[in-house]
Amino acid sequence: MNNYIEALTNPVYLSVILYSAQIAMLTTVVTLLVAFPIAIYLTMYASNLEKPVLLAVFITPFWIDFLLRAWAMRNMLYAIGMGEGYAAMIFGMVYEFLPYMLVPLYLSLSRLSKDQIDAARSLGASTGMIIRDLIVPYATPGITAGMTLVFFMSLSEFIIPSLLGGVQGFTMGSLIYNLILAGDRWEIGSAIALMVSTIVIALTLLIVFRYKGKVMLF
Amino acid sequence: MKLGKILRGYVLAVGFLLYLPIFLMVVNSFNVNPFIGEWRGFTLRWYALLFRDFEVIQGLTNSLTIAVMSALLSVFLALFTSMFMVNHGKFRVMDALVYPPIVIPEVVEGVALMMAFQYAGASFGWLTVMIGHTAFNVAFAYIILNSTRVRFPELEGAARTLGASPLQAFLKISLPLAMPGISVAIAITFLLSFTNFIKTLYTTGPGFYTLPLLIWNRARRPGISEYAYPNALNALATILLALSLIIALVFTAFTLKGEGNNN
Repeated sequence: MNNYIEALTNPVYLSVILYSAQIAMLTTVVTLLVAFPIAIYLTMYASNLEKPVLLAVFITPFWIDFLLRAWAMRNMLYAIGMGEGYAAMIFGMVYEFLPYMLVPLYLSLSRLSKDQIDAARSLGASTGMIIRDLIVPYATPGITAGMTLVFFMSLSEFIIPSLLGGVQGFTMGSLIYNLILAGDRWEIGSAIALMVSTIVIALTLLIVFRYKGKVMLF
Repeated sequence: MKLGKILRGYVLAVGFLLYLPIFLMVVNSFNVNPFIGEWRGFTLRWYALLFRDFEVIQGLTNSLTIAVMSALLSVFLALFTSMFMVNHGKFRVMDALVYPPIVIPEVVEGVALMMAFQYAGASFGWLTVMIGHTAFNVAFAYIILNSTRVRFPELEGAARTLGASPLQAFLKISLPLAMPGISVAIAITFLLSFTNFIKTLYTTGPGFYTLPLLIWNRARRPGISEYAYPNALNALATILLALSLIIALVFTAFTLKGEGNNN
């Protein structure tokens, strides 16, 4: 129990945890902003010919090794002279996590057809009303699932901050690594790890039960 | 209509950006220049270098051994669990138990595996890595096998009536019919194990490294030796990329074929 208290009260550990949470929050919001228009286009504007091709384009990176994509991204950022740092780290995480946001968004929005929007419009609904009363309610399960997924993946992410973050890349993943593999405070490291996993499992179960069949692939 | 055009341009731009780094990686693996950037002509030097690189060959051998063993072992375990569960449909706990390994952050899983091995008094090395990979692969294999059909009680029953032994009925009827699902499960678990980095990092011991660990070490300090020039690493990454895409293609082909059969 003392380990948990220390993990949460020691200012060094606490500041790293808060820093990781801040990075994860920013990554999640940016990923959502990038993915949302894509999901709208795929569900409402893409032709039947275009849709499978675009879906394949955005889902194929799922299959490519995370580490390879991080390395490729690092190459490109160095080639354009951006190097490593805070912005590079956020950019890299958005790049890696985009499919994880896009798929739940796409699945939840695909239940809404363009006909429904046209019907609402012909009955006199304004664009604001359509967004508020149609798009947002339909997209909510996908937004919740995607944001949770991306938030927790970026919270404990280790590869991207280490490869792209430079000195600003010391996040929770690096903290746990240092405490357990490089240092000797493994009991604090595992306390932090256990707290994170408890929250993740609880939220996943919540989403699975709340939105069953609306956002999941399996 | 206008909005659709704007969105279309945006979608294409994001799609382009998604593949740009990978494209640069592949192109630069053929660049005479050892560093990324200026194009100085075509060469296969970085690929030739891989064959002389002892560390790469060692890492590849280790990765392949672990991935093959872990894929076969996890699919074997998952297959029998899945076959058992078909006959005990009410027992839903198993289905809930397989999801946590998929959603828990990898770092946490790595730490948990490491602690378990520590308390068990295991010496860290290839065996701990293999068991660690199998521990999460089983969950994926179980989910994949459960989404396909693995047991055909009515057909097996018919075979038994015609005089086949239970073993014969299983080997000659159920196993061949379940083979597409099994192949997909083996392909996926192989890929997951072959590319795994975090869990390997936490469960490996002194001297045992896989290809991702080697890439990681070189990616953090590019250019410390001829073998670790960025474009030498790009050549290795390109080969691994091709491997991932081939497995993805096999998977897609199998899923499409499976859907065709159902209709």
